Amino acid sequence: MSTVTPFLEATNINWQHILHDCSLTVNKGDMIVLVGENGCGKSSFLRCLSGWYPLKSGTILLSGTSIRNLSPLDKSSTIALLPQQLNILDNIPIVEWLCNARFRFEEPTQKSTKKVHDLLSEYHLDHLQHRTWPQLSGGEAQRLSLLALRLQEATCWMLDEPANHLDPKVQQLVYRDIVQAWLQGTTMITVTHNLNLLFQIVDKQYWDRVRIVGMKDGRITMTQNLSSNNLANEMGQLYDLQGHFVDIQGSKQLYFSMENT
Amino acid sequence: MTTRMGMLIGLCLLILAGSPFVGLTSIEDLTPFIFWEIRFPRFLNGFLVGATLATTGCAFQSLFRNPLATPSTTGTTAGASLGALIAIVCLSSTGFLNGYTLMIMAFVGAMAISIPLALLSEHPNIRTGDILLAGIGCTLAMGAISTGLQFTADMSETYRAVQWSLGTLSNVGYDSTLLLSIPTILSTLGILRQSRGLSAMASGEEMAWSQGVNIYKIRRNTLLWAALGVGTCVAQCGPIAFVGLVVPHIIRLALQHSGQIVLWWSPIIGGTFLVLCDGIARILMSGGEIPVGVITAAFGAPMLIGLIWLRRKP
Repeated sequence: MSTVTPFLEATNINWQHILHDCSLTVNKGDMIVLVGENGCGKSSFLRCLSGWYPLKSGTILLSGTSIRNLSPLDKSSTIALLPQQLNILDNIPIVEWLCNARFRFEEPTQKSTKKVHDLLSEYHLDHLQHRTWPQLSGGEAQRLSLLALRLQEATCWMLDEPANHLDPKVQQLVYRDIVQAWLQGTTMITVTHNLNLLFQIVDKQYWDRVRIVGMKDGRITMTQNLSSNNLANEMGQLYDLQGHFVDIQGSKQLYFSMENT
Repeated sequence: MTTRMGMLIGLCLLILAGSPFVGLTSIEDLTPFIFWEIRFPRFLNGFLVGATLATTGCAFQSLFRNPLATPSTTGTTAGASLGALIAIVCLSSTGFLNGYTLMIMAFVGAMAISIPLALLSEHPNIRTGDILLAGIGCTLAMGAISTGLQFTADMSETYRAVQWSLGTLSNVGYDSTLLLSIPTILSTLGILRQSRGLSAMASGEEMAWSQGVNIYKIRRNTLLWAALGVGTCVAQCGPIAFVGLVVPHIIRLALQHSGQIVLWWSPIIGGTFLVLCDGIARILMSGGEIPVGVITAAFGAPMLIGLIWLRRKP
């Protein structure tokens, strides 16, 4: 019998008194959604998984190889990371900024620039190409950031609350982009508080494949699928609230209420 | 943009072509000897030093994501100044003090600060901002030690130290051009080779790193190449302020662009800027010349304030 090496295998991750014995196995094509209260360690865990935070204890294997032994260039073909807050230098032209996402290909600038222009047209974002970073709205900036992830052509995206600060329409657009990339085969690990967007955007037939990993006080305390009936209850426990499923115009949604009300 | 670039190149060529003819000697008295043996090597040295300082300044501004970073930010200049001062104070009574020992001590001083800092910068647990802080700390410490040494020095030593610290291109010839050219050209090319990585740092370290940029290696290499180039320049000509700070901003403003291209333009504009300042230094005072460091600072500071005014929010 042959065993398949998982895409990413994290074992007993401890980090800076924030994460305690966190273990997670991610297979190729999975969608992992990290949920939990503010400060429970979701972002730290994501940064450990991406290799950005050096580990003192625990191991992370990327296709069987310790992430410690991989150079940034090696990793960049596998993992593309979108931090929660981007801190872009003010005046960098958008096209040049997007070209940076092609760094790993070591290709001529003209080739990168063409790729960027093609993708901007494909996503109807070419009107943004002459802007600079401060001239973008939060939504435009986030959609361009996702384009940067596409340009990197990595097999896994790691996203830290990619739609939190955006208006409802842009949240939908951003999650549509993410789910589309996932259905095209990209492995997805995302931190979020909003599962309702996933209920709305992910087709019901794929709910089994969306794994919700709940964290509390730096430990992984819950693993459920999006289709699980127990999800509302477990999510409630995670936030110390009562979780309920409600039906809004045929779409399943999560609703939380205070425990003592 | 192409028009702007063309105009900038035209202006540079005009300044570069005209500057060797400017000086205390009138054009009629300008003998081939003065031109080829004094003016031309001085012109070459000015260009090399300006190019190196501007390229380093631009690279540091990208690396530290700070528009005020300069080649002296990481303590290279302060180390060189201390080295030179030690040479002046300790060697003047022994008879060993000459141009070469001064140069060697200044270079050793520059390297003694920059190399450990560059090696430290390779460590993943050290933040880039902290390297900047360490550099500023080193600069302040070197400055304090220098002041202490000057306090113990006699008048003639102090005068020599002050003279050195003003920065000048006057005591040079082809020998020094040769000495200057190899490290400065290597340093400039070394930094330009990092241009893609440095440009990717604009996205922030975490994202650049995820895009495949080995930010620790970029930090180390940029600091090492800068140390070699700036250390050589300071050792030969003394500290020349403001070139590395102002030139990248001039390019950004002139081209109305702030991407990778600024780094590639830095050697050309930096070289031209220093050659221009040196020309001004030669003609401003009748009967003598002002150290070029005074000119770059005197012009650079108001220019910087002017640029900040132009960059103000609408």
